[in-house]
Amino acid sequence: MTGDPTRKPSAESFRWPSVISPIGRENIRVYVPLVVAIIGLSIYTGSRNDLFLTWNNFELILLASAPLGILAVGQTLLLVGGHLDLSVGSMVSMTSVIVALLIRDHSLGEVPILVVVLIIGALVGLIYGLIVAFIRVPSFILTLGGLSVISSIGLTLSNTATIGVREGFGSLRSTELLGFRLPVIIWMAVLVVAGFGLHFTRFGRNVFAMGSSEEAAYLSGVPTKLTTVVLFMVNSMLAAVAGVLFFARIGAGAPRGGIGLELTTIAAIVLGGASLAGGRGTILGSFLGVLTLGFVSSSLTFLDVPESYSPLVFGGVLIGAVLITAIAEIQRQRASTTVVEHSPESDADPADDNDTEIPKPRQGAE
Amino acid sequence: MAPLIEFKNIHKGFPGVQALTDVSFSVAPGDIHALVGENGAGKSTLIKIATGAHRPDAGTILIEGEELRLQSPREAMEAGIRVIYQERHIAEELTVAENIVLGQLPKARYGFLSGSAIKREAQRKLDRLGLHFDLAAPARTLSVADRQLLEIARAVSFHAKLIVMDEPTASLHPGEVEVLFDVIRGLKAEGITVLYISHHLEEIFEIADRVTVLRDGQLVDTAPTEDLDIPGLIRMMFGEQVRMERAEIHGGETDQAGEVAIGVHRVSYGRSLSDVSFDVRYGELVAITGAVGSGTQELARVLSGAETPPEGVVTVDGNETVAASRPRAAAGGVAFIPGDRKRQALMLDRSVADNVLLADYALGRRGTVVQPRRENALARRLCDEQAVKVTDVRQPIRTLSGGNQQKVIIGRWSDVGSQIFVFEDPTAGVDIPSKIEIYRTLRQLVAEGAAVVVISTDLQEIYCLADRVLVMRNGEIAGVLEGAAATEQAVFDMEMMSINDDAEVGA
Repeated sequence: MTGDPTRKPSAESFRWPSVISPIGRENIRVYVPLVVAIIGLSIYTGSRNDLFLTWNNFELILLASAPLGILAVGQTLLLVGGHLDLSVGSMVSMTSVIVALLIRDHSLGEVPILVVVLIIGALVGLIYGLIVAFIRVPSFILTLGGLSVISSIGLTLSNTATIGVREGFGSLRSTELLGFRLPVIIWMAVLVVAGFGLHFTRFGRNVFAMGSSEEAAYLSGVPTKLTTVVLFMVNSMLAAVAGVLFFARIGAGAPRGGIGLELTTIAAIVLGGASLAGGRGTILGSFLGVLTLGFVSSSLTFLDVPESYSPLVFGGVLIGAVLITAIAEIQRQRASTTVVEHSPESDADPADDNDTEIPKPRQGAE
Repeated sequence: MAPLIEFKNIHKGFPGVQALTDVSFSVAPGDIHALVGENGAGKSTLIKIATGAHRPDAGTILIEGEELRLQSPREAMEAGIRVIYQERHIAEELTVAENIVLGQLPKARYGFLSGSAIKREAQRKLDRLGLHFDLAAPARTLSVADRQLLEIARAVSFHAKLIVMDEPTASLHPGEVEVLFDVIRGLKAEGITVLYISHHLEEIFEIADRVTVLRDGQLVDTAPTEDLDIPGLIRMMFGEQVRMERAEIHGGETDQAGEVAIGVHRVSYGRSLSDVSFDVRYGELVAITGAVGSGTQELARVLSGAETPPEGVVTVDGNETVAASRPRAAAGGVAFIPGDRKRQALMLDRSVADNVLLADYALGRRGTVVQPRRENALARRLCDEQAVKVTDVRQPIRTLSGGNQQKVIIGRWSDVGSQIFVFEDPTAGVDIPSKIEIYRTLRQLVAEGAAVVVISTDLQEIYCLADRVLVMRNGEIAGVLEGAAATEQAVFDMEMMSINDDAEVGA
């Protein structure tokens, strides 16, 4: 989203702190509704159930959201770069199975296991990246195939059964730092590093450029092939990390445990203001999207809503949010086509733009 | 006879600007009526009012003497007004025939469409215009020019009385323009009125019966074309004399060409380029021209490093590895300013700052970490250097005019210190004052020692700019002309001879 030049005077008189400006100014209208939703939901659920508004529950929500949150970071990077990975859910399943097997059958230590799954993640990402960058297969279709292949590997390795393991990665359950347990700390660390990388480095600028117009980026010297490969590798490695956290949470390798996570991830990111068409999205927005879904999920439990309704609520939240932003976008475009293009400062020819009558249909929320 | 369309005292304002002030003129039925004016003069607002997209603040529109209050584009269509956009509104996967009758499918028995009826209907419409298309071909296989003709065929089938063409020749080659003009003349013969908007003044003198000139939202005059000449028309448009002559722009002969910047040695590329060799030196501007399909577009991509030819060698500063990929060529100092600005050069939804700094980030000239504050200041400086008219570098680039967008792209490359510039159609969709500014910038780059390649079909542009002109034919260099000798006539003759190489040359 672009700043509204019609409000230029106020935008000029108020200066955002430099850290907030690149991630905040343009996206503030995405963040505010999510924060309001989280607060509103908390107050409502808290009024019905005293246990909801407790530090303990807050921490549990974060803990439960950590795998999803880490997946969302990788997926946001990909989406901003104009790609998508639908196989992250099956990556989580497969990774959890591999971790369980390595502990049960090979009694490997935590560090070697981590190295192994990160290498597997990197390899998967490398294969995806190379195919997308050099053979130009759409990532949507490639990773849809990858979803099946990877989940099949997980099912084969585990003989389709959940592998319960008592020991291994206990530290992920027990260790606390600054009042949060380790998975939450890892999630926050990933958020900070990815947020810096995407919003404050030239690599991040190249990712945005690639997602906005791959051809313009390439012709301007952006190494789009390399960038694509790196994005897929980072994403798959983060999926492997999420798989380890998932394993630690349930204490088992679950070959079907990650089913549907890829779609939940995309839902959270779209809530956070990213565009499925690429070139738009923020790490902070995706974080708030994940948090919103986490709060909704917890509220449903505390309000004793029957399980069969929870997909309905999730769907309703997503469709509602997308509708609101789409309507806001149409209004904004209406306002900007009559005002911005004719503003005396911009010497734009109003007719240079034939799109004014027909608001472009966009994928996803803005 | 009542005018086909009459604008009476039209006023239209937008917050902060008065787009049209008291504009009145009328278009006679069956006329080809040109509407000219620089960007921002109000032509487009006027067109949008005529097509129901905007409503005037004051004033009336009369169609065949009857006042019309258009509430929507749909109503304008029903009143017989159609606008032809460039390569828009084509359903790519449908056939040519289906596209022509789209929205007006022939009646079918039992609700089933008859393919033969569709083809018959489409053929009838094409015959009316004297056009020939493969009706069964999918529309996506059509060239830009053919798409436009297809749109006209469709418009005619809607019983249009007035067809508005907004820059119809912007992406057409001279040969294709002639076909378009034949079709327009055919429309006129049928009694259909055409409102024709173009930056190419020669075209207006070739095709239009009358011209209406707008400047700063006000009517300057409406006059028969035969009473005007190009310099006069330019004066009406800009209020002062704008000179576009070789002596003014090129500034006389210089002999300062230095080392070889780009060497092209025996390059072949499929059927597009065969055995092409030439050098471009620092301190000279080489123009390359040729008909569509002559290989100029492929040559642009090869020179910029975006494509690597299977045969032959392209050297940059004597080095063979630089042109191996676009990122490497960019890092090696080769700027590429492609012709399709919106798709190939700009991130339309992003800010002016992001766009002007694109190559900077791509090449990492200022380190790894980005500082938003400094970023804006730098973008501001680059825009000022190129005289880009922009209030806030954070505003989206799509709000800028074509000329300003092009200056932003030039700024992008001067920022990273490029010394070799490959331009493709540098002034496509740019108004005349900006054109001249861009020409001066190009010559300025040459004067500062850069090597500049301009690939263009605009012969006047080439004559004004070039030190040397290469004329392409069927993937080969058909001839080389010194700049001062490369008059429009000389280049055109060479192109025509090339095209009709084996045939009799009529001219």
